[in-house]
Parts: sequence; structure tokens; C-alpha cells
Amino acid sequence: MSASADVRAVLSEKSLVQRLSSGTRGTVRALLRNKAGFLGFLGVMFFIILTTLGPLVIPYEGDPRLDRLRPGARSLFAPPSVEHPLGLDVKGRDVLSHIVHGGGPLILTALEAGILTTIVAVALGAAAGLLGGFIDQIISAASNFILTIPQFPLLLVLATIVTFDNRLGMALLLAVLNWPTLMRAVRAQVMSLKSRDYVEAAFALDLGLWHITTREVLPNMISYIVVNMIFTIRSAMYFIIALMFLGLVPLTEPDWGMMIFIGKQQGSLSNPEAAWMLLAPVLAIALFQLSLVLFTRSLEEVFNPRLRQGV
Amino acid sequence: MKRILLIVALFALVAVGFAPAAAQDAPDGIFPGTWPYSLPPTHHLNLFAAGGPHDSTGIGNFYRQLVVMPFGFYRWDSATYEGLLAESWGFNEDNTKYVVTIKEGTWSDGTPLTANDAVVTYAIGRILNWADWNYLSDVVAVDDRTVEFIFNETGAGYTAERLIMKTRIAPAATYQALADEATALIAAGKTSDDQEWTDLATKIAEFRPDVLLASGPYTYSLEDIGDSYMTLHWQPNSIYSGSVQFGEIRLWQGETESTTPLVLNGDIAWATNVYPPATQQAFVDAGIRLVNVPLGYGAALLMQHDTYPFNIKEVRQAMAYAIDRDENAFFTNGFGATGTEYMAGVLDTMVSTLLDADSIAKLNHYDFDVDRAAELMETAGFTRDADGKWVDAEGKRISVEYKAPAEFADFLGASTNAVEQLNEFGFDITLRAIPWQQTAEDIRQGNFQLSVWSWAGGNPLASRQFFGPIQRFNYVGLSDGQKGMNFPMEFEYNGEMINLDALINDVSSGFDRDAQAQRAGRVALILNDLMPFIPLNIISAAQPFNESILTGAPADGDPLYAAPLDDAWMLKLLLEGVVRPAGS
Amino acid sequence: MRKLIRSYTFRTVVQGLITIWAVMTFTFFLIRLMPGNPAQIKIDEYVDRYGMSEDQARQQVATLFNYDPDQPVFEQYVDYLSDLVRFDLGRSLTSTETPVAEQILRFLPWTLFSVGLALLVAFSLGVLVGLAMAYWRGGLLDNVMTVFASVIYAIPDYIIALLLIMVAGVQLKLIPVGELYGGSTQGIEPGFTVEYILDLLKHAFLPVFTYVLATIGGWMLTMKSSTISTLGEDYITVARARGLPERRLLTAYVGRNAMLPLMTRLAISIGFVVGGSAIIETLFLYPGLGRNLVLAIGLRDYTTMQGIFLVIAISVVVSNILADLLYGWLDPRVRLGGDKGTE
Repeated sequence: MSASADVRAVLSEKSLVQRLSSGTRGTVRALLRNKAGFLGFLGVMFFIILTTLGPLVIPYEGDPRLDRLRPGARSLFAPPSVEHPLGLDVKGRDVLSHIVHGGGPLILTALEAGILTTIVAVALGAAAGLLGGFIDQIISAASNFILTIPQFPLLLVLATIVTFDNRLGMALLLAVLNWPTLMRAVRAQVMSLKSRDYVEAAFALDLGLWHITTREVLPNMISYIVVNMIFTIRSAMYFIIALMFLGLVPLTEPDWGMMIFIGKQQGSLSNPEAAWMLLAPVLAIALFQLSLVLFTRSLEEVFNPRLRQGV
Repeated sequence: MKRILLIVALFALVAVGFAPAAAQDAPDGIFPGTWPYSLPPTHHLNLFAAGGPHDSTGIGNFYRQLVVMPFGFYRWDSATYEGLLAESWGFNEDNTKYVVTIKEGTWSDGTPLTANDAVVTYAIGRILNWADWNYLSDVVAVDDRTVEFIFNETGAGYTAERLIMKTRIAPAATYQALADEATALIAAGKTSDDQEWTDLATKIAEFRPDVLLASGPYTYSLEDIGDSYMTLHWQPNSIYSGSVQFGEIRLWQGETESTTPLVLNGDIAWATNVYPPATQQAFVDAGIRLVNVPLGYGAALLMQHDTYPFNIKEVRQAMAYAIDRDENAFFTNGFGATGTEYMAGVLDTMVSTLLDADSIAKLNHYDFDVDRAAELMETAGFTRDADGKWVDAEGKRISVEYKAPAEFADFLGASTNAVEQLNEFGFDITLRAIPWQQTAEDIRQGNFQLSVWSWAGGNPLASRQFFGPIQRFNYVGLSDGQKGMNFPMEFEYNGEMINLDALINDVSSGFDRDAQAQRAGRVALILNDLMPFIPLNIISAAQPFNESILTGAPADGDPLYAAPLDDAWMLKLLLEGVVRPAGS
Repeated sequence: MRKLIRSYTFRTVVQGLITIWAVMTFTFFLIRLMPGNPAQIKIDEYVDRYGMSEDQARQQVATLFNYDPDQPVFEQYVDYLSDLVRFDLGRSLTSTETPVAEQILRFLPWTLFSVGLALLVAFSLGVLVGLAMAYWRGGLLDNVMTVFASVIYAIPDYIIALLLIMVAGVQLKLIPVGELYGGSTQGIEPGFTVEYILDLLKHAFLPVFTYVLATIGGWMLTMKSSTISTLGEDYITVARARGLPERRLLTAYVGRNAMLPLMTRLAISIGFVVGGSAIIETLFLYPGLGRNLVLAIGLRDYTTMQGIFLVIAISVVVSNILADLLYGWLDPRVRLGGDKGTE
């Protein structure tokens, strides 16, 4: 890229910042105006508070509680009660305490993975669509390759070679394996947009790829991309659970992933009294996803100002 | 019209009179069980090839005995055999042969059971390198129903006996041609290194018989294998056809998870899967009886002995003291596991049968005692740091990794609990769950610090009980270059050089039960003292037995329940007609 | 000739073939790097279950399988490749001498039927509802469906399946679980009869219903977001200003354009139809390819795995190529191949 293109890129970035800051008040108003979106915002805040402040309020139960075995019972699982609103898990421990203490790391890693995947997918998709030709072929071939490689054996083999003790490694792996689906969607969309008058005009004006991508292409796709990112976050959560039990990540408690895996393995769904160990983290993930989806309604209005006027 | 009826009736009477067994009607009941069989074409009817009825992807080690029967059935409670196909059996006077007389009976096609069936079976088994041939030099039909197994120089013993008695005898009617080729090869002096040998082995594997001739009361064809269940049909010509009470055995496909709802709904009345405690509770709540039957093994904590500090005896002993094995057992499989009591290297239930009384009295039970554990750690030169973690003279913590198989709920449960308890005691262990194949591979390669696998096993002989993991996952039992636990098997003990590997191999040799018990007692005491691995618990399966569908299971605590699946109580009681449809 | 080589379709096909070969090769070595091998797994089974010694088990297994672990992997690869060009997928290792192609042909139709049907239902329903959600944004339908879609899409398929069995099948006894398991009722005569087709649908109900529940939320939400993106575009505003009827606007303009990014997703999903879902098929005892794949992976049946993975690879690549071609048809403005000189 030439130096002048660099300058232009910086300039256009600046203009984006300016645009956002000048519209701050409008943005906040848009965030608040949509009721469903606001509800989503509250939901996201709830999870942030739950995982950051919750642990200060609700003590963690880590040790097995054999003393809680009820007479005649064969397992320590217990249904919700006043003392334990979400019941007891396979080791007789309070499920609520594990929900409160075990969500943070999973959510954070999944967020990282989701954002990373989205960045990679959008960047490659835009590049493939805009540049076309050889670059497009390389990227498409790579995406086909990654899509088609059987993941389970790949991860098994990978687990014999590497282990991750940090979140970023996991997020990176997720990004590497999950970018193709979104990439192909972005590529298709970019190709479609590329031939439209205003983009062609932008090309003609030699406004630079960066400008075209950020100003013309992305705003058009933003709500689609955001929803995809949310899905990636969800997939990442379940993917991390798989990684834990393929040996790529050590087993540590408390963790929602542990609850889901052990809960399933211990047949907790076969017994209504035991189901909460598995259902609680799954529902937590579901509510988290719901909050994010609702929250995007506000984002849509921020990013797609035309929608504010309604259809 | 009346006359026609009369004639028909007459014919029917004549037919009954002349067809001895065929006139018998199939019993009414359906026995609803389960086994994770595979579907055709993966599933086929060749008894000698992988994927056939004998395979675990076929109908598995319990149900296959109802179709193609072995000579006998082992009673774990009395250490004796009961005959299935065999009428009499035993070593000859000078212990050079094992002589079996086969009961008078027929295969499902009406051809008689003969000694030749056994000869054919073993001829093919020889080409397939069956373990039996490590002990035998020949198998000979003496007369129609008597077969002699001639031992080689070192073969005579109880190990060979068990192999002979448990081998399922295949029908000569199906396999004669292949057996003839095998006999010809042996006669020509060929060995397994010859190409002809390999070719014949391939030919045996490729063989796809159309029908499965049965010596047991049930048989099936490929059409009987459905997607969700398969049916073993009663056949009239077996020795046991008259006594069994079920006309059909319905085997639902599936493992623990997919069979759980079927057990709860009463589609499956008896299952041998290991159901986790929550599921057991659901069964009990649904009014289904649970029968506790040992699996014949337990979870053992394995150490890699090149890893400091697990090469120090006191540290290993301290670990044995520091784990509350009862608690550990509960988190292994609820009430379906018990903490090991004798720490002898053989199942607790087998201790009194296999070991001598003196040795039993001397066994250290390592009752849960953290103070004693702490003393031992201090003897080994460890002190506690500010966080209560043990550190050695150089201030290093015991920071190690523990690998556990992710798929095995029982081993994973035992492992998480053992790690929790040891960390509580002052170790610094990180737990990693990995696929079981990887766990086994890492253990074999010695690529682990702590791990878990089974100890004892489904074979009642003392030498086989000691086998895992001290031989199995140690350099002595592994392929070249694999070191496994790398626990040295030759060392000085109480002032004399011993070879533990040789001692274990020798335990069950010969025919003197008292001498065997003493040798076993010695090995047990050495293992008990050195603690090369910690036998954490013994696992049993709580088999659901739905008494609204089936009846005839003995009361809890019956000696028949002492045997694992291969010699399961159900085999005897099904064949004898004791287990029958409820309400009949 | 030169025109052919330069043509987009030709290049795409060649690229697809290369991808398939690359994936096949990679997979070939990958699965042989997996911990454990078929012989060792059988040995472990014999030792664990029957108390054999490692040596005894090893001896016995050596002749049981037609597999030589000491043969150099590259040699195995060449063998495999030479079989493959003759359309021979080899023979199963763990069910000795059973042809892999026979296994695939036995199980693939079931997977195609159940997963294909589910994809069809989930996609069409999801797209329609998603379109409606976007159009009447903020309305009751949108709100209810957003909650439904977000929540259901966050629950993994195996939990939906287990809940379905345990709650509807065992607790409430609404569905006869055992009767619905499997692919068809045992003994029923296959054929083009009403009875047989109804039976197939009955048995496919549990897996199809689960697949639909597990995926429909994704289609609804992506369609909605994609439609919203489209609604904001100039030409929609222009079309509206031109006084085009709303219904025509919705189907011809909005729907068609909003589908574009979804087609890529759909293509990938179609590609994976052949792989089935191992967990669902195993749970519902459905005789599909996924269930067989899991079995093969567990036993490290290299040839069977290799065969199934190859079929999956081919179908993913083919459906992606088709998707590329389909864009051009859906949106004539898209110039395939990207650069302007090629056409």
C-alpha cells in the first residue's frame, strides 16, 4: 500500500471517530429509546455484575459435601430449595455458587474468541470480495480447507502437541477454526455491493480499500455481522467445553463448562432432582445470548440510522 | 370335515412323536435387554472375525454365550466350574492333558454336538494366534464326545483351564473347510511367518456364513438386527431349549445415555451398563430394583516412578493414607463403588480365596489418617509452607499434572476427588481430562506424572488379578521402549534380591492351592508395603432389574452376584429358567 | 481451449478438486496421528474386559485385523490413493473385510433423509419468520420470536434431545420413545407405499424435530438481521417511493437480497448434511452415518473414518461451488470470480 493510502486510511479513521463522538448524545438516546434493546442492555449488565460482584456476596462451595446425603438417597443431587435456590450438584454443593463463580472466565474467553473470529472473518471476507482474483481464490480455498478438515481428529491430535493455559491461545484457536462461515457471507455481500454504483464510484475516486470497507460495506452488513458474532460467542462457549475434555485446557472448578460436561456425564437429566446442575449453566448461557441479541436492537439503531425513521 | 380334522390331528400326533425337539413350542416371554451392537454390514455372522457375534460390536461377552456356548461357567464364590456344554472336565492324572466330555446335544440345525466341533474351533484359533495355543500343543478328539487338550511343556495350569473352559465352541458344520485348511498348514510345518498362514487368516476373516448355528437356546440372522433393537430367537434344538423361559431376547441398541429412558419406561428390563448415581436414583424412584454386581476392577491412582517425588516410598504411602477412599468411592460411582479395604492388589472379595491367612493378617489397610500421612511426608524430608503445601528441602512444591480419561465417568470422578483430597493435604496437582485412548497411550509411554486406570480385573486367577497395572502398565508388560509407570521390578527387599515380575507370573502356576496362596500372599505384602500404585476403590454396576417384567433374581447378597459379566449370574439363571417373565 | 481454462466454472472445479485432494491427504495423516490405533484399542479391550495379558491380546489382535501398524504411513497412503482412483474406498479394519463403500451406502440415505428434511424445514420456516420479524420490527411477533430464537439457539442439540426424551417421553409419557427409535419399524416392507413412508416419517420425527429446534433460531435471527440491513438500503427506499406494493417489495426486493448472505450458510449446512449428527443419531438410535462415524472414530477404524470424511469433504466443497454459482443467479450484479478480466 502506498504512503498516501496510509494517510488516507488514518484520515478516514479519524473521521469515523469524529462522527461517533459528535453523535454521542444521539447514540445514547438511541440506546435507551428501544425498550427491548434497553432490556438487553440491562441483561448484559446483569451478567457483568453477576460475575464480578456476585462472588463477593455468595461464597463459593468447592469441597464435596457428603454430609448432605439424604437418608436413603443414592446421589447427592438435590432439587432447588430455599437454602439452595438452584439445588445441589453431583458433589452436594450449591449450584448457585458455581453459577456465580464459574461464569466469568468462560464468558471472557468466548467474547475474545467471538470478537477475534469476527475480525478475521470480516477482514478476509472483505479482502476476498474487494480484491477478487488470486487473493479471493487463496482465501476461498483456505476456507474450504478449514471447513472440510474433520475437527474432532484435528483437535485430538492438536491436544497431543499443545496445551493452553491461557485464554488468548484458546480464543486464537477458535478464531482459526471458525472464520470461514462468516467470511463467506461477508465475501458474498461484498461482491454484491461492489458492483453497485456508489461503491464503483468510490473505486473510481480511488478512495482506498479501507475507506470503502469501513464506510460503505460494513455499515450495510453490521447487524448481520453482530448477530453472527453473538453466535460465535455461543459456539465458543461450547467449544471451550470440548477443549477442556480433549485435554487442551486443564480442568478447573468452578466453571460452567465443567458443570455442563459433568452434569451430562452423571446423567443429571435422567432425574428431575438432578437436572439443575446441567440446566442452570445452559440457561445462563441462553439468557446471556438473549441479552446480547436484544441489545443489538439498540446497536442497529445506532449503526443503521435510516432504521430510526422506521419502515 | 370332521374326518379331515381327524386326519390332521393324527398327522400332528405322529409328527410330535417323531420329531423329538421340533415339536416344542417357543416359550412366550420376551426378555428385554440391551447391548451396543453394530448394524450390518459392520455386523456379520462370522464367529472368528472382528465385527462378528463374538465381538464387542457384535452381541458382546454376555449374550454371545446364549448363542454359541463355552464348555463351562465359573463360580467366583466357590472357585469351581459348572458345565454348560461340558458334561465332565478336568486335568488327567499327570496333568499333561485337559479332558472334556461334551454333553449329548445338537446344534440348531439338528446336527449333533461333537468333539470335532472343539477340534475345528481350535484349528482355526491356532491360525488366529489364540492365547490358548501358548499352553497347548494339540487338540484331539478321542471319541465322538471326548476331546483332549494336550498341554505343551509349560502350559499345564489353571490359566489354561480357564481359557479352555471359556472358549465358545464353533460349529464344525460351518467351519470344517477352513479348519481343514488350517490343519493342512500345520501338518505342512508352516508357521505364522509364512505367507500361506497370513493368507488363510485373511480368508478366515473374509468368510461370511449365511446362518449362525447355535449350541445355545437362541440364535439370530442379519434380518433380526434392527436399527433400534435386535432379536435373538429361541431355537428348539439346544440342550437348554427346554428350560429357558423366553421365546425372544430383545437387545436394544445403545449405551448408557440412550438406554436410560428405555429402562425408565420399562422397554428394557435388565441392563449391564454402569449407570451414574443420579440415574440409579431415578430407577429406584421408578420402582426398579437395582442388583449390585462387581465389574471386577476398580480405579487405581498410578504414579510415574521416574517423577520425583513419587519414587520415594514414604510419599506414596503418605498419599495412600491421605485419601479417604470411602469418600473417593462415592464420587467414583455412588454406592456402586467401595473403598478398597485390604490394599492387597487383588479384589477385596477375592482376598480370602486367593491369599494365605498369615499374609492377610499382615496387610496394612492404610485407613484414612492425615496425621500419619503428614508424619511420612516429614520422614521423606518435606515440610509445609505458609499455604500448607508440602515443600522439599529445596523449597519446591509437589507441582504435577494428573491425566484422567474424560469419557469414563467413574475414573474421572475418582480422579477429581483424589486430586481434591491430595491438594487439600498439601500437594499441588493440576487435573487434565483427555480422551481415554490418549490416556492409555500416555501411560504406556510413561508420558504422565499421575494418572488413573483399572486394577485387578475380570479374571479370578491371582496372577491375573495382580497383572494390572503393575505389569500391564509397567515396562515389563509393554512393548519395547515403552516404560509406563517404570516401577523397578527387580530390587532388594528385606535383604534379598527379588524379581517381582517373576514372582507374579509364578503365583498361579502348578496345582497346589496352598502354595499358590502363599506365593500370592507374599506378592500382596510387597505391593501393600511399596504402594507402587494406590488401589482406590472397587467398582460395581447397579444393574436395573425390572421386577414388573422379570422375576427370579436372587435376594441381595446371593453368592452368584460375586461374578463379573463374563460369568454373570444371569447366564446361569436364564439357562435354568429361574429368571422368567413376571407373573408366569 | 484457452477459453475453457480461463472460464470461471472450470477454475472453480479444479480448485474444488485440489481442495478435496488436500483435505483427503491431510485427513489421511491426521487420523493416523490420533492417539491409539485400531489394534491397540482392541488390545486394551481384551485386557480390560477379559483379563488377557498384553502379549496374548497383541498376538490375537495381530491376526484379527488386516492392518499392519509397522507399514510406513506413506506407503499406506500410496496404497490408499491407488485404490481411490479406482473408486475403491477400501475395507473396514474393525469389521474385518467389510467394504467401506457398502457401509456408507447403508447409512448415508438415512442421514440424508433426516438431516436434509430438517434443514429444509428449519431453513424455510426460519427465513419466513425472520423476514416477518424484520418487517414488523418491534411488534409482538418479533419480540416473542426473538426470545424464543435466542434461547433455543443457545441450547446445544444434545440437551434439547435429552430433554425431549426425558420430559416428553419419560415424565409426561407423551411420546413412546422406544417405538420412535431407529430408522423404521422392524419387519416393515420397504417400498413406495404410504405405510412405509409414514413409518419413515414417524421414526424420523425425534431427530428431525431436534435438528429443527436446534437450528431454527439461527436462521430466524440471521434472516432478520440480514433483512434489516437490506431494509436500510437506498434502492428499497426508492422502490417504496415509487409506490411499489408492500408485498412485492418484501418478496422481490427485500427477501431476495436479504437471502444472499444466508445462502453461504445454507451451502455450508447442506455440505454437512451427509455427516449427520453423531450425538443425535446415537441418542435416538437412528441408523445414520454420524452414528457410524462415531463408532469408527472410537475404534480408530482408519479406513471407515477416511471414507466417511472423504464423502463429507466432497459434499462440502461441491455445495460451496454450487453456492458460488447460485449467487450469480440470485443477484445478477455479482460478477463471479471477482476480477473483471475473466469473463
